[in-house]
Amino acid sequence: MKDIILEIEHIEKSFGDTQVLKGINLSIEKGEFITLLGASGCGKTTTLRIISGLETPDKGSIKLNGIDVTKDEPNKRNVNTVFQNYALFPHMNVETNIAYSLKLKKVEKNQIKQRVAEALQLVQLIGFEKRMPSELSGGQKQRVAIARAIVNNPDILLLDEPLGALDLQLRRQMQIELKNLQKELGITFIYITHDQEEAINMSDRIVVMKDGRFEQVGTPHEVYDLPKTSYVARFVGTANIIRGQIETMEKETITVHMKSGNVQVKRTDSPLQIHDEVTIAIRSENINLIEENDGEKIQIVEGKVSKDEEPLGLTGIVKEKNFAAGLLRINVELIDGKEITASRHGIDSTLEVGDRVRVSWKPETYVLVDMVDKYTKNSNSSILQNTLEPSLISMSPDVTDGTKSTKCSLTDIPAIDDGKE
Amino acid sequence: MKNNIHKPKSKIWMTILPMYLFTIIFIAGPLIYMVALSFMTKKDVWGVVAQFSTASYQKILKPVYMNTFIQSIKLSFATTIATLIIGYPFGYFMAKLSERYKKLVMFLVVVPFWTNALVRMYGWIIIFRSNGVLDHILMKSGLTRTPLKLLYSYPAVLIGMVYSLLPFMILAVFSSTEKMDWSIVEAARDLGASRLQAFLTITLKVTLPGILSGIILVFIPSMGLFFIADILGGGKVMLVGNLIRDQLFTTRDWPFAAALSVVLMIVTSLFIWIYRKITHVKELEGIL
Repeated sequence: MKDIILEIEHIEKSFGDTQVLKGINLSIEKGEFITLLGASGCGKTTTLRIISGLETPDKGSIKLNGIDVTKDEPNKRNVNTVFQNYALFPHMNVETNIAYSLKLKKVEKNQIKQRVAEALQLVQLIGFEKRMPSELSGGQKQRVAIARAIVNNPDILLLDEPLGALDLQLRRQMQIELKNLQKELGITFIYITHDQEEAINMSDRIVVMKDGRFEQVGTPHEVYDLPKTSYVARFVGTANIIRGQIETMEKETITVHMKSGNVQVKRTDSPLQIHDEVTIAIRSENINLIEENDGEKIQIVEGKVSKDEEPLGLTGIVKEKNFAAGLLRINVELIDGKEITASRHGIDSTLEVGDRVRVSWKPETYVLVDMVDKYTKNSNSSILQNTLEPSLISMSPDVTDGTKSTKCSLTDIPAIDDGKE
Repeated sequence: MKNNIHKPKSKIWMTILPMYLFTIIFIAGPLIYMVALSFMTKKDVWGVVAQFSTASYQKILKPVYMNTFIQSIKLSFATTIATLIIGYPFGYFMAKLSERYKKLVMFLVVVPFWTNALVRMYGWIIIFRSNGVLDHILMKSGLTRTPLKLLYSYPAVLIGMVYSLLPFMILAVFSSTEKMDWSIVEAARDLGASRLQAFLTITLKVTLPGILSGIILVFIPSMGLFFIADILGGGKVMLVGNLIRDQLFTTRDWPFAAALSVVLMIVTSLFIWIYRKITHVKELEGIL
C-alpha cells in the first residue's frame, strides 16, 4: 500500500444558508499532483482552505499523515498555501518574505540564508533578494509566493489558481516549471484551477467538482475519455451530450432513438432496458459529418464509415464554421432543433454553411454518462419530460460563448442562404 | 499644437498664485508677526513698544511656566496613548465589520462633529459633576459610596481630551486597516504564525502608517486645546493653551503670549521631528 498523506472524510461546510461543501471524501497519496477542477463557486477554494486550516468544516475530518488535524490551527499544520493573489507581505522584501516561516521556527540565521537562497534558486529569482513586492511583476510575485511556501518543506503544497492572473504564454511556461518543481521536490501538490487544459497537462489525478460535490475523481485519461457524468464530459474537453431512448438491444450494441435519427452505441454492463432514457457523451473530434447530396455520401472528417452503417446517424444542417486554436469547429443544427459540434484539425473543409449532413460516430467513441441520474429521473415522469428538453447540446469549453455564437449564427444564416441561391 | 502645449504652462502661475497669496497672508504673515511680537516690550496698560527684548523668553524659564509646559506635554502624551489604546482596536474591528454595520459605525463616529465642541463639553459637566449622572449610576450600583468629585480634576480633562480627539485616531486606523489585504494575515497563519504573531508581524506593521498619522492628528491639537481644560478642569488644570489665552486677554502681555506660542510651536515641531526620525527607521527595517 502506498503512503496516504491526506484523508478528507465526509467534509461538509456551510456559509450562512448556503451549503458550499456537501460531504466530500478523498485520499491523497504522498507525492501526488492532484487538481481540483471546477467552475467558480463550486467549493474548490473552500476545500483548500479547510485543508490548510483557514476554515473549519461543519462536519467530517481531515487526517494529515494519519493524524486528525481537523481542529488544528493553520500554524500547527505542515501544509503551505500559494494564494491566488500571492498575498506577499508588502512591508517585507523578497528575502524576508521567504524567510518568514523559518524565522518563526527560530531556525539558525546561517541556515535561513542558505535555505532562502535554495528556494530562490528553485524559482529562478536569484538577485531579487532585496526587491519589495511592489517592485515585482506578476510572474515574479508568483515565484516569490511559491518560494515562500516551499522553503518550509511542507507535507502538502496547496495552490489556489496560482497562474490565474498571468498571461497565456507565461502560464504555459509556469505550468511546466511547476510540474518540474513538484517532481524535483517530491511534495504532494493540491492544485486548484478552472482551466481543464491546465488540469490535464499537470495532474496525476483530477477531481472534478460541481456544487460542493466531487463529480468524478480519476486520472486525466479517465476524466477525459470515460466521464461519469454529462457535467464532467462537458467541462473537461469538448463533448456533445445527447439524450435518447433505447429502441433495440442486441448482443453487442444498443440502438438509441432520437427525434433526428437513430444511433448505435456499444452495450455495457449497465442494467439497461428497452425504452430507458440514456445520456450519451461524444467528443467533438470523434464525430463524423457526411454530406448528404442526392443520395451520394461523402465523408469529410477522418474515420471510415462503410455503406452498411449508413442508415444510422442523425440528420442536420451545418449552421456555423468557426476556426480557433488550430481547430475547426462545425456546428450542426439537427432537425429537431438541437445543436451538435464536430471538430477537426486544420481549416480545410468541403462543408459549407447550409449543407445537409449526416452525423455519426464510431460506436466505441461514445460514453454513457449520468447512469445514476437515469434511475432517479425515471421515478418521476414529469421530471423526465423536462430533462428530455435539452437533449442535444453542443459544448465548447467556454459554454456561454458557445451559446452566444450559436444565436448569432442563427440570425446570420438566412442571409448567407440567400446569397448562395 | 505648439500653442496647445504652451498655453497651460504660461497660465499655470495663475492657478498657483491664489494658493501662494493665501499662504503668505494667512499663514506666513501672522507667523512673522507673532515672532516679531515676542521680541517686543510690553506697554504698561495696553499694547506693545517696538523695542527689542528677550524678556518674554526669559520669563518662560521661570519654574511656574516651565511646569505648565511639562503638564501640557504630559497631558498630550497621556491623551495620545489613551486614544491609541481605545482607537486602534476600535478602528481595527470597525474595518472588519460588514459593509452595512461599517457605514452605521462610521456615522456614529462622525456624528459628534455635527455639534459644537463647547456644547459637547458642557454635556460632560452634567455627567461628571457631584451627584451627576456618573455618580448617580456608580452609587446606585454600589460601586462607590461617595461622589467621585470628578469634575474640575485632571482625569476629567484627560477624558474630555480623549473624547474629542478619539475620532481622528479611529478614522486613521480604520482607513489603513480597511485598505489591508486580509489574505496576508492568512498567509502568515499558514506559514506558521500564531494569531498574536501574525498580528504583531503583519497586521500591526501594515497598519502602522494609520497609527502614525493618527498619533500626529491627536498629538498636535492636544498641545493647544485650552477650552477643555477650562470647562472640565475649572482652572485647576493649567495648560500652555490656557496660559497663552490668559496672557493675551487678561494680563494683556502680548509679547509674552507670543513668546509662549512660539515656544509651543517649537516644542510640538520638535516632538514631531523626533517621532518621524524614530518611526521612519522602524518602518524601513520591517523585521519580525
